[in-house]
Parts: sequence; structure tokens; C-alpha cells
Amino acid sequence: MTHTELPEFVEIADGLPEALRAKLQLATGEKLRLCYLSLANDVARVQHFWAQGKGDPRSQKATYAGMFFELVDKLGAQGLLMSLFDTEPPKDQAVKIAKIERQPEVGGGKSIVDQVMEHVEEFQPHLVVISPSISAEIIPQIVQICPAVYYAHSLFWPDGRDAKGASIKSRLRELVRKRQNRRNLAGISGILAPSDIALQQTLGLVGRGLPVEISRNQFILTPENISPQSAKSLLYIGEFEA
Amino acid sequence: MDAFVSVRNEVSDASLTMIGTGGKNEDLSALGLQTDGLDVHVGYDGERMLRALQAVGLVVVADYYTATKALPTYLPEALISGVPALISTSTPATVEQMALCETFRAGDRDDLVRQLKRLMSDDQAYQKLKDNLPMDPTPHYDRSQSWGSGIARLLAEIYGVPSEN
Repeated sequence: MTHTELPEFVEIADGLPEALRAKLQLATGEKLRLCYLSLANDVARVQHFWAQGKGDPRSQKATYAGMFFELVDKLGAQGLLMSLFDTEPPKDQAVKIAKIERQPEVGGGKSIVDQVMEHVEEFQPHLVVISPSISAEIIPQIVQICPAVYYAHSLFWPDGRDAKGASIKSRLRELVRKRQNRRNLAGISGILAPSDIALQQTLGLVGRGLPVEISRNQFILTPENISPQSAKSLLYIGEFEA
Repeated sequence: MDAFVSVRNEVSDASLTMIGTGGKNEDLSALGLQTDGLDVHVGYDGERMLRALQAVGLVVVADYYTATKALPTYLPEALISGVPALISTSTPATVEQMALCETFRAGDRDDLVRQLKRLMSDDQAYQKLKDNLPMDPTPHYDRSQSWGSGIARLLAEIYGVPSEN
């Protein structure tokens, strides 16, 4: 497989695969196993592009799934991703994509968390990266199996809000949520965050002393600077909600 | 959307391009067809985003950020393109991004309208914001700072092996 059309976005230390193999005492033929838990995107679709050495045309920056494929490749590892989308992943890839079914509103069926845990238990990863797109209630179960890195993509509470103006009820609700989040995150081994604010909030919940990293989106194309000299033409990019 | 309508009542040549998705897709698409100066695109497409950034004068991040909302999509691209941004105080941007943006109080629609009108009528204020741009793009073309590289270092650190060369 060649990756000539897609730039490299992942850098690893020289000798890292060998150092990890030695540390983990992996048997001959056994590979390092990494899992990234995110249900937000159609990762099988991204894998089709990646397997052809191409980036996802919907994104002009490096995708998380694409970087995960690259990381697994560079470490000579095996990977596990999960997806709620129907796209069939390409075959014979180092990263397997397991299909997760949405739980029906009525009638039985396994919960999403139960399905995810079955795949994780079967895979027995050496590291799981957990994104907020999956319920944080899964974290205490994951950390019983292996170390987990929490990817703090979202905030836990709105930053910059004037707490003095909040009602007692909403302050109590926030306190309960903080306790739940603190309990869920208690066993994590590291934090990756895309902003200082997200990192500080997560550290505020789990305490200092964990390995942390701040990541930056990596662009494929350079945006041009040709915008008009007026604030009268506006662009809103975000959620279409009430 | 309400904020834009308020602004347009006073600034008749104001225009708004909306790109995104959510529970109001159909309503906003219909509104886009009926309203002068409003262009609505449902869904994300990388090339469209970049084209839109080239054609506008101000990016607005009006979302009220709660526990379930992620980072503002395409804010770094806007700042690197030299397009100023007006963002809410709850926006989880980086420190350097926040320093380059104008802000309005999170959840305060009146403050959003006030800031929009000010930037549309006060050329000096707008130019001052624009003069601070473009943002330094270097970290966004440095793969050592990528999400994947961050995981590689954390993996090494957690297992106690060298994480850097």
C-alpha cells in the first residue's frame, strides 16, 4: 500500500514499536493492540479512502480515524474501531471495524455500551482511547481491562459562564454532573485535549499528575486569505438547532 | 438566526451563510430559500467550507457550549485565512485563538447582536481585529502536534518507554 497522495500526520519516537514490544513482553507474532472508541463518524468510509492512500474528501484536515490507521501502521500494531454506520469496511486491514447496532427504543437488544464492551473484552487491547461520543459510564469498565486515554474533545461545562447568575437548582445539577464525571474518569491513565480549556477542565476533575498532551488539527490544504474587508458578510458554521 | 434578522433590520446589505447540521435542517433550509441574504448549506464538505471562508468577512461561532458540544468547527481555518471571528465566551478555543477573536457573552443574544452591529458599523474596530490576523499556521502543519502523535507519546509515557527522539 502506498500513501503518496495523503501526507503523513503521525510521528512516533525511533524504536518505539520495539520498546513497547519488549516492555509488554509480547510473544513472537503477537502484536500491540490499540482501540479507539468513538462512534461519531463513518470510519469504514474513511478507511476505504485511507486504504487507497487518500484522505476523506469531506475533510480538508487530517481525520482522527485516518491518524489512527496511520498510528497502527507505524507501530506495526493491530487496531479496533467501532461504527454505528452501515458502510462495510475494506478487508484485510490492520484496523478492524466492528459494527455496533443502535439500541431499539422498545424491546430488548444489547445496549451500545454492552456491545462495545464485548468487542473490547474480546480484543484485549493494550491501550484504549475514549472519546466523548460514547458514554463516559463505560470508562470504569474499560480501565479494568487496560490503560485508557481520555480524549477531551468536548467541555464538561460551559467555560466563561457567570456562575453567580445560575440558579441553585442548576448549580446543584452541575455539582451532581461533576461528581459523576469525576467518578467515571477516576481510572484514566492519560489525557489528550484539543484546547487548553478542555484540558484544564479534565484535570480539574481527575487531579494533576497524569500524562497530558494538547493536539492541533493538521491541515491538508492551506486556506487562502482573500476575504472581503467588511463584517457585513457573515459565516455561521455549527449546529442547526433552535 | 434571530440575531441575524435583528442585524439585517438595521444593516440591509448584511448577508449570512450557514453551514452545519442538526435538528433544524429542514426549517433552516426552507428559511434560506425564502430569505434575502441567507444561504443555508446542510452538511459538512471540506471544499465548500474553504470556499465559504474565502467569501465572508466574519465567522460567527454562536453556539452555547455545553458538556455535549465539541470544538468550533473550522475556527482555526478562519483565523489562518485571515477571517476575523466573533465567538461566545463559552467557546472552547485555545488561548491563542481566543486572544485573536472578538467575544460576546455566552447565551446572551442581545450582546451578540450588539457586537455584530458594532463590527459592521465601526470599520476601525473591524480592521483592528483583522490586523491581528492571519494566525500563525505553523502548529497546524506540524505533525508532531497531531492527535495521532499525541497518542503515540501518551502510549509511550504510560508504559514507561522513551516518548521522544
